Amino acid sequence: MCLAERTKFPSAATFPVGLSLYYVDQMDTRAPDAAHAAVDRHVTALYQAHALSLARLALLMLGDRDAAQDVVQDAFLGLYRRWDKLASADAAPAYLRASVLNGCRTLLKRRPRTALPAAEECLESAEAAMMHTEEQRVMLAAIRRLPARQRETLVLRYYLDMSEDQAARAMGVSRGTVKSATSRAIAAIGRMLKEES
Amino acid sequence: MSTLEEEIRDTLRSEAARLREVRPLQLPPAAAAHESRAVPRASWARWLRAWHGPAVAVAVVALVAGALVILKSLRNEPAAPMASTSTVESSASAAAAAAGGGVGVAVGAAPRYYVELGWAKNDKSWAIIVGDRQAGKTIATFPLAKGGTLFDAGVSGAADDRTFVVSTAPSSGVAGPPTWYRVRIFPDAADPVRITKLPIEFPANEGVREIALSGDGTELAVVSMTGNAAFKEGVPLTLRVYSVATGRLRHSWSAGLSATAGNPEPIADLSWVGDSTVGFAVTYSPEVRETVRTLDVSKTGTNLLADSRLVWSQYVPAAPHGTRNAPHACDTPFLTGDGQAVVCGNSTYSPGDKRLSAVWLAYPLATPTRPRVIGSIQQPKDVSGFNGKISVDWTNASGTEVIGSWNPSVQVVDHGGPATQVTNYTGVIGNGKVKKFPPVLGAKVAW
Repeated sequence: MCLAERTKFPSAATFPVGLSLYYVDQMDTRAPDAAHAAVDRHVTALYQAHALSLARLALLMLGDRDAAQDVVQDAFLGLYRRWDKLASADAAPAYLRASVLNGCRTLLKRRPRTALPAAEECLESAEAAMMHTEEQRVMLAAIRRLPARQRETLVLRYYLDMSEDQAARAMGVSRGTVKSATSRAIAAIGRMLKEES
Repeated sequence: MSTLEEEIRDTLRSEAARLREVRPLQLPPAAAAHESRAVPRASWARWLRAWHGPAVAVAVVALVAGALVILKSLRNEPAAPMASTSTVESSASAAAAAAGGGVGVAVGAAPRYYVELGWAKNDKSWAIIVGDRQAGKTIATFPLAKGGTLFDAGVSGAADDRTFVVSTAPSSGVAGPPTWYRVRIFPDAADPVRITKLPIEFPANEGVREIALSGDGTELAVVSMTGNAAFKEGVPLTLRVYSVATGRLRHSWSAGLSATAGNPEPIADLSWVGDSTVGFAVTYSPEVRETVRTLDVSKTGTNLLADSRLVWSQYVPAAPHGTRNAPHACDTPFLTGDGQAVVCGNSTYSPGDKRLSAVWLAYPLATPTRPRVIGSIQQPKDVSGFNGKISVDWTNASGTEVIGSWNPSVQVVDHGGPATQVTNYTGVIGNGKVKKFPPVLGAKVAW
């Protein structure tokens, strides 16, 4: 956004009035590190556009808001550092999503014995509590009890609406693995819901 | 798709929708941009946090053990005085901390930079002043051209805490449209603040009342009225939306409302919900009825009130003038960025200890009769009222944290006669607490 706008407009130094000449000179003659500023702008614009959806994805994977936001921050920092290695700016959203999924997997591996917080523990206000129906709370608790890979397939297939092929590519596994993981996850949820009722 | 699969989808979407905002992106400094070790990764920070608890536990055990050893060595001295001293110290620390403006308020999410339209300290002119709240200092001051005024001025910031738009009026008595600037902050650059003019196509015969920059900084909403730098009664107000990139007018709506001496700002407190909805407050009569409405600016229209939708309304009965516990209208009611709540400042009075408090509230649109207290600060007993608004100067998208200002007044005797002494405060309010920082006193300020 910002880069495009800058190319369209003359710099402040070309404007004849408004600010004193002293300050106008001061503003534009000291050039910044243009390349760095451009990356800064690109990454900031991407953050504004994608951070919330990525954080939501990470929240579904991790069940923890803070950890989800940490993972997203990590992904954007990674992008920032590797911007010059990116094939094109268009590749950034896919890179970020892969990076967030990787970050979630890594985090989940590091806490194998810690169950994801139950839905009730995550609800922090009456307003938030009202957002879920009782059935959804039970369903969410069931999803959170699934193994990480099964939960990931559900998130990719049903939250991101990915096809089996797309989910397989995102997870780095075969289509068959996605299919079986999804099927097992749905069966497990069905069992848990029956037990709950 | 089976019913169970549909339920899974609904549940996942409902859960995801609970997260409504993310904390600001913190990029590393320029020099460290390509040095991976220079900036600790969040996962590394998590590792540190994970060990924080055990480390504190070990420290506490060591302290307790140390204290027991000391107690044992002081067998002849009773333990009570030590405990008593400890309590007094705790109270004193708490009091000192409270006097400093509150403890433990997370201020990370509140914006760091601000743009103020005020008086240049070392110059005899009005100026655009850019400041850093965290560092408590001014980063840059740009004096306006001689005669430039801030009578009909506006300033507003984008969500990135780095981009602002400013309008300034032409010199007093000189006809002509306001001058528009974009102010951008580059914290690590050699020149951290850069200003460029914006070619906003604004009518020459109108004065700016208020502006609001959209979260992504691409669109600008402007409330204006005919006449420059002078207040005129009975002149209708207009809301226009411009493209910041081209300066072109996108749409315009006439309000059919005009300012009066008793209600100088019938349309105010502009805010953006996403990139196609503008929220604004309409006050029909001061201290009587306030409303907040939303307008879909992606659609064309001409009549601001007919084309917008009422989302919040509050009736405040008129009260005897000067009564400390009189009902008070909500000051600066802003619609939050997620469009789910209206936040505002207000005052409350406690008859028990006869003290006033400044309070900031969030009214969820779903349950408007049950406002949530964002934070409050009780005033000393000698405070007799507030001078002007208890304002909301910035709010986060969900209305859980605001930057607010309040100006308590105290009756004093000065030069033999009664006088009112006013103190200005600004602070970050959230989690029920208030953390003060040096007040920003410009004519207009944007965060």
